[in-house]
This record gives sequence, structure tokens and C-alpha cells, in this order.
Amino acid sequence: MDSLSQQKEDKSYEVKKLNGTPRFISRITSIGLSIGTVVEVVQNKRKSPLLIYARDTMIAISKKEAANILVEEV
Amino acid sequence: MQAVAQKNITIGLMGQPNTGKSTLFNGLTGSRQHVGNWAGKTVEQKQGEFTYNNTTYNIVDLPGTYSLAANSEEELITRNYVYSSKSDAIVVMIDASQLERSMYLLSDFIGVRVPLVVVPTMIDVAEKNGKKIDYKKLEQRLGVPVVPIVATQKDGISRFLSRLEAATSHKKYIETNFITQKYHESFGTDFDKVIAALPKSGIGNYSSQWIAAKLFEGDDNIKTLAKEKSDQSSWKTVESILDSYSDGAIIGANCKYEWIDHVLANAVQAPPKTRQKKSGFDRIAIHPIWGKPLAVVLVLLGFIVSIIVALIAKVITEVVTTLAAQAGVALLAAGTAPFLVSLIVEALVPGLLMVMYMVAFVSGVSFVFGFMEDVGYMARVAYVFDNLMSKLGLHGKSVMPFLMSFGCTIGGVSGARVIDSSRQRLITIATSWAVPCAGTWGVVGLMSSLFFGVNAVWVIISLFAVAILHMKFTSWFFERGLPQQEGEAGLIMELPPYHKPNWKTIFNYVWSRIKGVASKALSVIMVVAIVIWLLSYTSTGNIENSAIYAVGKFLEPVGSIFGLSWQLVIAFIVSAMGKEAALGAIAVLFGAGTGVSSLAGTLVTSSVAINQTGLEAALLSAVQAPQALAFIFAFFFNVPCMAAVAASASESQSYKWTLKVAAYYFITALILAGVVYRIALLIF
Repeated sequence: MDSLSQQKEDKSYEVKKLNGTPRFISRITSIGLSIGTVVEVVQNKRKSPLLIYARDTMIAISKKEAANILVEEV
Repeated sequence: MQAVAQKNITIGLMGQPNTGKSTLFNGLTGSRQHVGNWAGKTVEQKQGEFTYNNTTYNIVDLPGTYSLAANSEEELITRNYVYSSKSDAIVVMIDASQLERSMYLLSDFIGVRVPLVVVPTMIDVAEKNGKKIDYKKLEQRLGVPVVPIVATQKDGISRFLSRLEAATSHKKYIETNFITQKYHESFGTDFDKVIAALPKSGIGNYSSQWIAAKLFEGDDNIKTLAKEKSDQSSWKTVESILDSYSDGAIIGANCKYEWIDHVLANAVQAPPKTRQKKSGFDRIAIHPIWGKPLAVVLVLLGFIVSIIVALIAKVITEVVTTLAAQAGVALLAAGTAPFLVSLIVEALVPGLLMVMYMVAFVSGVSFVFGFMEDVGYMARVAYVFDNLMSKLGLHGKSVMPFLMSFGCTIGGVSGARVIDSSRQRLITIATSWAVPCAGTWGVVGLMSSLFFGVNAVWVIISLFAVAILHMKFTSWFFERGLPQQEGEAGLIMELPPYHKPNWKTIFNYVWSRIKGVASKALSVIMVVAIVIWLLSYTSTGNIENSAIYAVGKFLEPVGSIFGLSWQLVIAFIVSAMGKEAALGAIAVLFGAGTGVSSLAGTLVTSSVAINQTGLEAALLSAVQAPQALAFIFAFFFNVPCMAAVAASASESQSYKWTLKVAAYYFITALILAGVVYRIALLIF
């Protein structure tokens, strides 16, 4: 399992684990990311938040938050 | 005539962000809207009404939220509404093109005893994406009425209304069996133990099962509530159970998504998931490098549009000012008391014109920003500028109001509306006052070049350096007083797909801004204009006979600490009215400006005839370089203008908060001037 923040553009990953406070879990799950969700990395550039595509929408997540999302490539 | 039986129905309108909630709200209520604040909060409350088939519907537009969590002030308001709601129904909107995700909010309603009506939107988008949705099946599984709507279609609203009436009379709660079973599978008998410790009848509109699920999720707010209402002896058991579920939030979310899968199974036919290709525009808009200049260019265009709108007001202003001056002369000739003429010509008329100019400018800004928000571009700006703005403790979107503030602070303050979180919005407003507006440069340019020649460049550079530190400090300073929570959270935000502008929504938005700003501007600007006029009016035109001269002289000993002579003290005080016209006031104060009988006149009409060489000579002979530098800093960081104060009062809906910000700027400007003065004394 690797953190989502380090993943490559245009590849798809499955969410395996979410770390962090209940508040973070609540925010990230309510916007669509839960265990088993498949996400595609749209853009992952240095010094800017991560752009991913999941559950029919594009989501921006800061690198710090994305580091708490552990994924495996599918 | 027979009286028609009138029925009243109250509906709370809810939905995740970007589900088209404001489009529906505007479509239903049109101009019958009123805006206020939630009791004791800085969050705006929008209500509206409409009549259909002799029934009056009152609609409460609740802040958009992804779930019934309470992670921000907006979400807390929405949840408290649900908790104590006596409404006939809560309408929960779901986005048909992203059902899985947008039904999450709905899943949080399972166990809440409020009648629901589910309204799928974006049906046309879903169909375009090849999705076939069986709404009848959804209705059966949810156990509450499902009433789809195509808000963009002409008869969409009326078809929706004909079904809404029946739907609201059902009074059904959402079906609970499936998720209860899931909770049991996940939490076992612990789930029942927690429920047993809670009040049997639940609390407010929350059933004990709903509360239990929230407790497992680790919701602190609900924990406090439940603890208060539960039997204290059994509460200990609850706490020890909850302590053993550190990942309760994840389990709870999984149960909800399983429920969503269950509801949607065989009800939705969709082609294999494919993400839509980035459009050419989006390639630039979300580009880490090119996205930034694009945003700057668009703000600049927006500023030009706003100025063009305001130009219409400017033309009227010039005509009216000329007419007023002629009327003044005529009135004097007819024997009217000079002070009355001065009051009308130099305070009342210019004050009213300023209000008009401000309203025109705000409507331009609101239109531009409302448009960018509506089509989905603002979210891209937030993304591109997140890294930079988070250093100031601010949301990426705040960059737009900041850029606007370089033109005019009113634009920045009104533009802060695009920021969804009220907390972030207030910090942005407070901080944008420190961004130098175009009007700042008249005085700063003249004084710095006059006293420092080519070294004026260094003055400007140090002003900007201090401005950045000022903004950092200001955002920290005003963050403290606001409810915590959001500050430490990083960006998690949806970038909605672009869509065609909905003109009705945009114009409703502009109209509500105009209404909000006009009333505040009228009171603030008129009061300040009259007060300054009273202080500075003299029958002879000699400033030394005015009350403000006495004030300036009286404050001179204090002013000298900060390096300000009596003229500069007065100039500092009155420049809080408006930076643009402050040059005229300085000219009058140093005996190099003529044409008006009060300082108020110079500030609001800009009709002072300035003797440029006389002013420069007077300044050089009366002011030392350290004093000049101190004044430049005091002026630069002073309250920007009374119109900005009025705009801030309108946006924050709080005079108290606005006055606090004004006092803060007034005091910090003086402190900065003092520090600069002391340092300058050592250098020069």
C-alpha cells in the first residue's frame, strides 16, 4: 500500500485504507472516497494539490490530505 | 366572493454543493426572496416563497453540505435545522449524473424523523452520459417520494410542482431496514447496547439508532448531546464501547455506501465508467503554471467590466455634481444659509452619488464573479492557488477578491462572496483591506517621489513587504475570534464539470448583492459624510476655524509620537473616508487647495483645485522626511474608505465585526507609522 499523494497520472488505484481524525474521515468519505473506491489520478504536479477522478467527478485534494489515503494500483 | 382556503407548507431545501440547489431555489421563488442571517451566526439565511394551487410554500434554502456531519459552521446550521425542524418536508436534492456520491447525504437521513422528498437533478446530464435511471424503483427502495426535475426545461418547474404537492402530504421517513442490518453486521451487539443507553424516543428529530451510528462515527457534537440526555450510569458503558472502535467512521461510511449500492442495484444502467476528456480551456485552467496568469487576466477583464458598469454612474455623478453646484449658487443668491447649502452640496448630494457609484460597481463585480462561479470556473481558481493562499491561512478562491482589491477594495470585499465558508470569507474580507487599491497611489506616489526621489522605489518595495506581513498577521488575528475547525483542514474540493451559465441564478445573485449593499452603504456613507462635514465646515473656508482643526491640534502631541503633525493627523483621519480624494484634503490642509468650504467637500466631490507646485513647496517646508515616511505608512494601511466599510458590513452582516476590523486597521496603521518614524529618525 502506498499513499495516494505519490501516485502517477492517468493510472487507476483502489483505496485500501484511510488514516486520520474522524473529521478527516468524515470529509473524505462524504465527498466520495471510501474503502474500495477506485480513483484515477488526473494530475499530480509538484507543489499543487492532487487532482483525482472518482465516482463520476473530479476532486482536488491537498498533498497533505492525500498522504493519508493508502491505495493499490488496479 | 368566496374566500379561498389557504394552506401553508414549509420546506427545507438541502443538497450537496453543485447539485443545482440555487437554480431550483431561484426557479421556484423568483424575486420573492429575503436574505437574513441565521440567529447569532455570520452565515447567510435565504428564504423564499411561492404560491401554487392556493398553497403558499415557504422555502428555507439550507447551506450546501456533503453529509449531516458538523465539520463547518454551515454544516452545523444545516444539521441543527434538521434536528429541530418542524417543516412539512425536507427536500433532498441528488445529482442524477453522480448518484453514488450525491446519495451519501441522503444516507445520512436514515433514522432522522423528518418527512423527505427526494429530488434528482441534472437528469439531462445523466441521460447525455448514457445513464438510464428507474426512478420508480428508487422510490420503492427509499420509501419516500422521488420527484425528478429538469430545472433548465421550461415546463420542468410546473411539472415538478404538480407532483410536489402530493409528495409533501405523504409525510414519510426514509426506509431504515437495510442499513440497520448493515450496522448490526459491522458493530454486532455493541450497536444494540449503545441504543439501549440512549433515550428510547431519540432526541429531537434524531432516532436513537441514528444517534448510535453517529456515535460510532466519532461525532463529538452528537456525543455531547447524547451524553447530556442519557442516563449517566449507562453512559459509561457507551464510552467504553466507543473507545474500542477507532475506525468507526470508516465502517459507518462503508455501511452507507453499501446501502447506496443496494438502492441503486438494477435501478441504474450506465455505460462503463469513462472520465470525460479535459477540454482545451480546462487544460489551461487547471495547469499549475498557466492557470495562474489565466485567473489574473480574467479578474482584470472582470474589473474592466465592473468599471464600465460604474462609468454609467460616473457620468450621472458628474452631471449631478455640476447641477448641484449651480443649484448651490442659486440657493445662496436666494438667501439660503451658507451652511445649509454647504451641507447639501458638499455632504448630502456627494454622499448619495457615492452610494450610487458604489452600487453600480458592486453589481458589476457580482455579475462577473457570479458568472465565474456559476459556470464552474471558480473551483479551478481555488485549486490552482491553493498552495499560495494556504500560506496566508486562506482558501485558494480568496485570490480572486485579493486581485480585485488592487483595483478597488469594494470589489474585493464583495467578491469574497464566492468563498463558501463563512469563516474563510470573513478572514478574506478583513485581509483584503490591506491590499492597496488604485486610489492609494495618488498620495503615496506624490509623497514618496517628492521626499525620496529615486529612492521612492525602496519606499514602495518596503510598503509591499510590510503589506504581506500585515496580511499574514491580520488573517491570524481575525481567525482566532472565529469558531475553530476549518483552519487546520487542507483542501478537499470537488471540481464540478463546466456548464452553461444560468442567467436567472446569476441575476438573482446580483440583485441580492445590490439590495444588501445599497442599504448598508446608504447608512454608513451618509453618516460618515455628515459627521466629517460637521467637523470640518467653516463659514470662512479657513480650516483653522473648524472643529477638526481643534481636534488635530489637540491630538498633535499624540500624533508626534507617530511622527504626524496636526495636518497629517487630520489627513490620516479623513483618509479613512476615501483614499482617492485624500490628495485634495491634503492640499486644503496645507493651504494649497481651494474650491470648497469643508473637508467633506474635498473628499467626496474631488472638486478641489490643487495648486501642485504650491502643495509640493508647502509639504517640503512643513514636513520632514521621517514624518513623510510615517504618514505614507499610516495612510497606506489605514481603513481603505467608507464604501469598503459599508461593503464589509453588508457582506459580514455585522456592524460590530466591521467596526472591529476598522478599529484594528486604524490602530495598526498608527503603530506601523510610529515604528517607521523611529527607524527613519535613525536613518535620516
